[in-house]
Formats: sequence, C-alpha cells, structure tokens
Amino acid sequence: MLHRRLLARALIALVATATVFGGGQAEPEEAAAGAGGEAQQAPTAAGDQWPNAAFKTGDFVYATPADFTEATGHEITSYQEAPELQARVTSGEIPPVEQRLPEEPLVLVPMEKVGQYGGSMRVGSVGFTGWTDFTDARWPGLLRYSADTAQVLPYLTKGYELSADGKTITLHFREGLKWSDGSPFALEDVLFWWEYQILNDELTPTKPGLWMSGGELAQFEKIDDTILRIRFAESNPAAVFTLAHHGGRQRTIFQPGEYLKTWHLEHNPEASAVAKEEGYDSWWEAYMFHQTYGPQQTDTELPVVAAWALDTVAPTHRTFVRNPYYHAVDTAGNQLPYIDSIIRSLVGDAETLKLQVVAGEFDINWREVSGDDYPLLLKNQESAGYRVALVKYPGHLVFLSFNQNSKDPAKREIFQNVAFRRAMSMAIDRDEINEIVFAGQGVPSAVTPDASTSFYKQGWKTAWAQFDPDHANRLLDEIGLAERDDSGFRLRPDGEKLVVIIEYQERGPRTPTLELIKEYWDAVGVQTELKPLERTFYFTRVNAAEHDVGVWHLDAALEGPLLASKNGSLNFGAGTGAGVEWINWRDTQGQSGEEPPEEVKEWFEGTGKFVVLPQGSPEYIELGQELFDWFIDQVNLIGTVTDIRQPIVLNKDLRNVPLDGGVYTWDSLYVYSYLPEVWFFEN
Amino acid sequence: MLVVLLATATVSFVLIELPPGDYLTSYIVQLRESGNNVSKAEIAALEKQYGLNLPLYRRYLKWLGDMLRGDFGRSFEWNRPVGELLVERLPLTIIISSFSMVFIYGVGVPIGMYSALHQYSVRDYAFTFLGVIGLATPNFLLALILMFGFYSWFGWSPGGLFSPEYEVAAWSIAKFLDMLKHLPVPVIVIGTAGTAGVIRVMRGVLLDELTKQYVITARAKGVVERKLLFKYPVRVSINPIVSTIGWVLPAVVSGSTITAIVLSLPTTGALLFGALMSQDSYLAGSAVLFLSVLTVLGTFISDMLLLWLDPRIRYEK
Repeated sequence: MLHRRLLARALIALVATATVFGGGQAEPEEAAAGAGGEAQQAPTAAGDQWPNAAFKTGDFVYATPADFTEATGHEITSYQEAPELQARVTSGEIPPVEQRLPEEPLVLVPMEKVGQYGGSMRVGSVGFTGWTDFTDARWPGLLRYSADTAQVLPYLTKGYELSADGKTITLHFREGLKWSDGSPFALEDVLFWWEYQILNDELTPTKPGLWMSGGELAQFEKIDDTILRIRFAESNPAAVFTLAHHGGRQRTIFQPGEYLKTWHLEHNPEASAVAKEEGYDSWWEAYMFHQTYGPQQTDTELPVVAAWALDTVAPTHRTFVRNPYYHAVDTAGNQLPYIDSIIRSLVGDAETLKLQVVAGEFDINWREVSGDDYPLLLKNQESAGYRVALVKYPGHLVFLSFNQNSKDPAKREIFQNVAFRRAMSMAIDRDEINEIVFAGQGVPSAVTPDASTSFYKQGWKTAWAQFDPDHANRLLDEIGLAERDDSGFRLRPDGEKLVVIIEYQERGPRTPTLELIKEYWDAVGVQTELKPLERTFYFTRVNAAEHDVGVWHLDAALEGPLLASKNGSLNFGAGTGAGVEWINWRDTQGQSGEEPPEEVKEWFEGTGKFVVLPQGSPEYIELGQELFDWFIDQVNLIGTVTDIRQPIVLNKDLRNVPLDGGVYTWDSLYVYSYLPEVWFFEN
Repeated sequence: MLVVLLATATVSFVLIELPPGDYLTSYIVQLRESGNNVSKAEIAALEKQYGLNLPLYRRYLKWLGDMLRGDFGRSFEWNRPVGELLVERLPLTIIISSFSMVFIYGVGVPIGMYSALHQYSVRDYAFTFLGVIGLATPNFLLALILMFGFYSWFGWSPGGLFSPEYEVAAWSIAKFLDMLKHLPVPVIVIGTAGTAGVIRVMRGVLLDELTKQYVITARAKGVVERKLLFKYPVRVSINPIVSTIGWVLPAVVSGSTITAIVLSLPTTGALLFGALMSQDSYLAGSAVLFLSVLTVLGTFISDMLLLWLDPRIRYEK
C-alpha cells in the first residue's frame, strides 16, 4: 500500500512536471516561472492575502422578507420557481410556490447577481461516509454559522435568544415551513426527537453529553406554536455554537416525526412486525436505518429540509435533487436553490480523483488537491474550464504532542518535563517546513487559538516556536540528558538510549513534515523514528496511551467552535493523545484514568468556567488569556504551520461564490456557510 | 464440497475479526476527523446499534444462520443489505471482465502462435519483450499512465466507466458509446498481465508440439499447413490454457482489485477492498465467501470443458 501510494505520487509529480515543462507551447523561461514562481503569481500583499477572511455572511442573510425590506427598502412582491417545478405544479403534482414556501421565507442576497436556474453540481469523493465538498451544502441546521464563525445566523428558524444568565435558549420557528414531502416542519419535530428518540432507552441507552449541563438533562419546552425554549440547569452559552454546528441538524436535534412513526414502537404497535418484514431483528434497528441522514443515508423516502434531497443511490454515484419546499428565496423572490441537482461520484482512489479534477470533470474540489498541486492546477485551468481559488485553512494540517501518560515510567518523566517539550519545539525549523512542504504559503506557529479570537494575545504563535537548536541543546543538557552514546544520541538518566517514536496515519502533508522533524530532533541528539500506522490502529494505540508522539490535524481554532468543543481540539485529547488518561480521569469523575497534576486539574476547571462566561466580556477575555498563556507556555501541543493557503478548484462558470481568500474549514461547515443556495452556473 | 465451503466461511469470518478494532473504531475515527467529539456514552450506544457488543461466536452464528436463509447481513458502512450491494455490482464487473477475457485470449493466443511459428525472429523477440514488460509492470502504474495518456491525447475522461454526465442517465446509445470510450484503459490494464502469460504458455507448448513426430508425418503427407496447424498442435497446446479458465471465474467477479480502485471501477473487488479496510465484517465476510464459492465452481467448470475438448481425458473408474 505504502509503495503503491508513493509510486502513484511520484507519477503524478512526473505528470505535473511534464505538463508544466512539456508540450512546447510554453517558452522554457515561462514554464520555469510557472513551476517555481508560484508565489509571485498569487497575491502577496499582506492586505489582500485573505480578502474574504472575514466574509460577512450575515450581510447576505435576512431572517424574513420584512427584515430585508426594513434593511434595504426593497420589497419582494411575488415568488417564482424553477421551470421544472412549474411543470410539476401545472400537472398538479405539487402545490404552487406560494403554498410551498413558509409564510416568511429566509431571504438570501446573491453576492454578484440574481442567478438563473439549472445545472448539476458534479462532485467526486473517495468513499461515501464523509460530508464532502458540495454535499456539505445539504447541512440542515436550525441556525447557520457565518463563514468566519463570528456570527450565528438564522436558517430554518428565524433566530434565537440567549438569556442573560446563559441558561435558556429561545428559538423562533417559521410558520408554514415544510419537509421535502410537503408535510409541516415544526418544533414538534424537535420534541419528537427529544421525547421518543433521546428519552427512549432502547434508541438512546446513554444520553448525549451535548444536552447535559450540571449533570442534568436539558428541558425542551413548547411555549407556543413557533417558540421553543431549551433550559439548562447551569449556564451554557456555548450551546448556541453547538446549534449552529453539528448539534443543530436533522438527526441531532430534530427528526421527521410523522414519517418515522411507522418504525417506532411507541407510535406503532406493529413496528416490530414491520421491522421483521424489512429484514431487521428489532424495531429500533429499522428505526435507526430509516432515520439516517447525511452521507450514510440510503432511504430516499426520508423527508429532509435541506436545499437538495437524496434521489438515487447507485454503486457508482448518488444524486440529490432540488427540494421543492425549500424555505429560502433570493432578493427577487425566486425560490432557491438555483442549481438543479448534485451528482456525487464515487472514485476509488485519491490520485485518480485528482486527475479527474485536472481534467475538469468536477465542479468543485479541495479535499484531493493541496498546495503543491497549485502549478499543475493553474497549468490546466484553461483547457479544463475551471478556476482556482485560494482559501485559508485556519488550523494546523500537522501538529504533534508527547504522550504525557506514557506507560514507560522513564519516558513519562521526560515527556512530563516542560523543559524537554520546549526544547523539542525549539529544535524544529518551522520556516523550512513552511518553505518545503507548504510552498512558503503558511505561517509558522505554535498551536494556539486563531488570531481572530477575541482573547488572542500577541506572541502566542511564536512562543517556544523559534528555531534555536543551541537553546534546545542547552535545555536538554540541563535536564539530565547530557550523556550521549558513541553515535552522538542522548542517553536517558537510567543509561538507556532515548528513542522517540512518532506514530501517525499517512495523510496529506504529514509524511514530508514529519521527515523534516525527524531530522531536526536527531540533530539535537534525540533519536527519532517514524512509524506510519493504519488509522484505526493509530487510534487504538493513542486512546490506550501506548505511543510516544501522536500526530493529527487541528480544527476548531476559531472562537465559536473552540468554545463548543471544550473537550476537543485545544486540549489534552486533541487526536494526538497528549494526556488521554487525564481526560479519562476527568470524564469519569476519577473512576478510571490517571489523576492529573494540580495545574492540569486547574486547567480543566478553568476551561469549564471559561466556556460559560459571556463571550467577549472582560472576565472572559482575562480568563481565556490566562488559560492559554499557561497551555501554550507548557507546549502541551507542538505546532508546525498554520493559516495554510489551500487551493480549491471551481467550475469557471460558477457565480456568487465568495470563496477566494476566505476561511474554509469544518468549523464553519465548509461551503454551507458560503450560501451555496445562491451559487449558479452562468450559461 | 459443503465442508470446504463451511470451513472457508469460518476462516474468512475469523480472519476479518482478527485485527484489533472493528467497524466502529474506524467509524469513530472518521467522525473525529470531521471534528465531532464522540463520548464514551455515544460509543456504547453505537455498539448496541450495530450489534457489536455481542461476543464473536454469537455474531458468527447469527451471520451463518442468516446466510442460510439468503440474508447476508447489512453492511455497516453502506447502510444497505450486503446481497444488494454485491448483486448491483455484478453486471458491470462481468462486462469489464468479459471484455478483458476476450482481450486476453483474442490477443494472447494468436501472438503466442505467431511467436512459436516464427521462433527467434525479430517480431518474436519484440513480443517476448513486450510480454515481459506486461508481466512486470505493476497494474496500477500502467493504469495511471494510460489514464493520463488517453486523457491528454484523446481527451477521454480518466477513471470510472462513465463520464459524470452519463453516470446518472438512463441507458442509451450515447451512454453506451461513452462506456466504450472508458473501456480500453481498464481492459488493457487488466488484460496485459494475462495476455503476457497466455503468450508465453501458448508459445512454449506449441513449440514442443511442432517438433513432434505426428506433425512431421502430417507435413510429409502434404497436409495443408494451415489445416495441419489448427487441427492438431493448436488444439493440444490450448489445453493448459483451458484448464486455467476456471480460475478466471473468481477473478472475473472480483475484477482486478487494485486496478479497479485506481480506475474507480464499480466492481466487487473494489467493494471488498473497502470493506476490509473499514472492517465492515459482514460485507467482507460475504464477499470472501462468494469468491471462494466461485473458485470451487470455476474449477469444476474447467474440468468439464477439458473433458469436452480433449478426448484423451476420461474419468478413471
């Protein structure tokens, strides 16, 4: 497998070089500039490097037509629909557009111009299990993040209020909103999910921590037909971010209750018989199958509220077609989305997919292309009919950490020594990594919250992250690692050679980055080995704290996601297992895992307090700075390069796509926060 | 034969369960990769949902029992019945494989004959050289090169069996033509190694036969060269090729796995590979079993073919 991938990579590189240099159409000098001078072609001025980094999604979203009129003075006088829907109305298959839209639809402002209906979005993916590229556009949220996650915007609901004490969230539902099968979508669908799925012990034997606060389950309360109140026992303002992200969508907070009742025992006494007939052992298995929404959905009858609904499931592809009941319109009253359908093709291999992208077979792709493909992508853009936007990935594609719960007592003592971690961080030449692996397009950095967060402090990015091998050597000498063996590698205090093994799953820029890090660490006398693992095996080892150094990528560096994932990215878990046994200890209230030292306990308590403070308040900023001052100073996680410039390939006819120089991350659910409903194909 | 099959079933199930972790571990990793945090409580709930909290032998018995009733279980990853997944991939797998077989024998046998008849000629060396290259080049590499070549010379789309716009279209002349455009690469790639093998075998056996006395006698009697060739030595030398046709059956159904993955062909081989990677145990187990059954069947068929083709082979009483 390893060899196959390497060879495939080599071949692609060869092909890339051949394309850049070959053909005879380009003068040699020009060709050389195309390969090496990529930095000159891209915008370099600091000001326009990220023109859309703070893309104000909120300026293009109005909760209702009334809000739109109030803000702009324009009025929406009538509603129109796509021609194919018109035909279905004429044939009597569906009701007219006025009856399909809610009483107050969501209004989206096209960034460039009002679009035209039509076209299919072609996307490719390796496997069907992940949200990918344009399928993220089908995210059915009660609320929606802005692209920079700074705002939480209306979507299915008209909006929310958070009480001053942070204990209550009030959601305002739309009257007359409908599922894709025409049945009403209302707050009862949230209550169905809560009462019959979450509170049902067969379907949900252990209740989700997301909706617990102070050890108690939240309360879901219907105030009137359109107002739902969620109450927590303790202040929990970060729940709003959860609602704007993966905790606020079909399956995680609402369900098409009417549809699913057929398979639910409390609603249908025959549910077990129905399940048997469909080939399931129990009613809840059948229920779980039919409720599956997202990439794994295969029940095409399942009602949805997103702009596109699953239509066909085939071995090679899935298609999604326009939801005729979608609840949004543009400024001219045209029902959205503009694009008719999505075709998601299954591709066997990432390198093949890349070749198809270069051939212009897909209308959007970013997962299979990376910074070093940029010259190849530019070379082919004319003939293949796409353009390349550069977006900012605000996390780390590669970061690592020492396992401070190592099972080897000698290693544990060394890894827990802050001087050791600082030395190892300073031994890394991040500028060189940036040049070699990321074509000089990123920012060398420690692992920190993103610079856009309200509590960000100057100097965090460079803390213990300046290349200084002399300082590193001095620190290592001072902590009892001064003895060396014949080949110059350091010995542990017990006389054994200190060997550090970096375990990782091969993916993206990890291998080239880690090969460099191995050199840097060897150079300061710490013998380092690389050990690529299959990812399941990697996680089995990391979760059992059996590794020395783990490697993963980092999301959730932006403010909202960081708060919502208090157990997540910037923590001891973080995918690299910096202190998994400590996390275990905390999560099980001391019943399993390992008791952490006092300062780590304080960090856990502090993060618990931090996430419930009002965002942006002085005490919030103070505590945030205090917490991360400590965390970064301790070098619990070791960063490499952040703010990476990532190419994204787009069909050149696509309009209303404000992606150039924007933030593009899972934190804001990729395209979802860039209003894909108003994207359209010109011509 | 039943005992053999039962043993295969057991072995395949156990093998698939051997590595650490299960489908759930892979699934949780995937959730983590996309930024979800999965708590211990949620993991327990998922385990119950997928029936992975049961001990190994109970899952095995359940799988075996269901299979006897024609139910192969559900694929965790695809969230669909395994039977359906396998069946819907069969037609395209068979199309690709039959084209490849036609290619293998259609090209291999004549070239093998030519080489034998013109031993040590320039062309014989050329074919030998090509054959060795064909055997030695890894298929995926050949696939990538051809894919890129066909794209840059003819503008034919790389990968898959259809261009995206035809993928969802109903069958039509245009779709069929689109498929024909996509076929050469997989057929050549899958067929090359096989063709090279056939050439070598055909050439070797035929050379042996040509020097035998009955050929010389026939020639001496003035039998027309062409008639002589096809009536005797060729029939004999095709025997070893026919006896291996049976092994081709499972290969036909699994498709050439690595090639299928590189070329994104929707064959059962690629499906099996994915299932093994994500430890989707019911799907993987059923697919392995299915292939074993076909191997047994294939051997049986080639025995029958030989019996019919070669009058010298008879059952010993």
